[in-house]
Amino acid sequence: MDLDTTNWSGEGTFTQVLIDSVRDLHEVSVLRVEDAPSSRSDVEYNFISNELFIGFRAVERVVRSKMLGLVPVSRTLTEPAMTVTDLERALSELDGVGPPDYADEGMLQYLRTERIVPPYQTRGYKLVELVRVYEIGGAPRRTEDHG
Amino acid sequence: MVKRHDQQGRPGRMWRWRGASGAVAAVLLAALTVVLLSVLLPLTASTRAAVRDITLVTRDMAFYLEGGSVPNPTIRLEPGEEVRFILRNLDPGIAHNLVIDGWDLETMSLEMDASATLRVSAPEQPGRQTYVCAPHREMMRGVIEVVAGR
Repeated sequence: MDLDTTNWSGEGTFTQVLIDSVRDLHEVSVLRVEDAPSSRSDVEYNFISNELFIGFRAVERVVRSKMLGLVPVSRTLTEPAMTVTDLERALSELDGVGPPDYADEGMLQYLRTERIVPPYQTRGYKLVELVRVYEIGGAPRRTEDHG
Repeated sequence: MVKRHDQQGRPGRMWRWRGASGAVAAVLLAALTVVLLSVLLPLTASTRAAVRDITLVTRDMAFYLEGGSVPNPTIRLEPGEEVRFILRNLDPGIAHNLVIDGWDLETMSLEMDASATLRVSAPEQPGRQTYVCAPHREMMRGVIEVVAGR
């Protein structure tokens, strides 16, 4: 599998879990990981937003039919070995991942939140990790500002 | 008062003012008209300032002004200004709302593509208020500044 992390800072524990899980899927041929521009942090929080772009392996399928209802013919169709919905199902079965917080036909979204209290501190900060998974060729949702 | 007949010769009645009493009545009527017009005409014009619409969208766990790129922007209002905040949630799968604690204002929680409106009259005194999304108040938090001559 072709893994491209050149545009990823490496931040995000859950993102790494997702990468490792997707890597093990035979149906995936390309995985590109990027920092989303919305990542930001302040005193009270650290918001990590990453995007995974996945390309599925192509498989060929032979379809048999009859031309004019008489002559048997066969056609070879090339199609992705998996869809985003199939990917959702596969990842949901994994212990470290589970079902996404949101899913549609073009995107899976995972949101993980935890409070981090560093040693010798009482207050800590909130760590929020938002990971969106798209099929390569789909438009990232971050551009969907209707305004 | 005189009694006369109309054009068809039927008896009719009409009031007619004559002499000094007629002139006084006309002056009084004119004065009354002027007074009434001076009181009523201003009421027909709108005395309220226009309401300003401020549209906030929520996406990627932050507030943005519609079309803007600055997360959780500072919003400036004039003292006494009438404003309508329109909140639209563009975050898939995450519910958001808009709360202005100091003014005791809050929208309902919105799913994606839903919107809500808050009508606000800014206080006459300059000051600052925090606006937040209640479930994500650590990271979805901005400031409303009431300043003269924004």
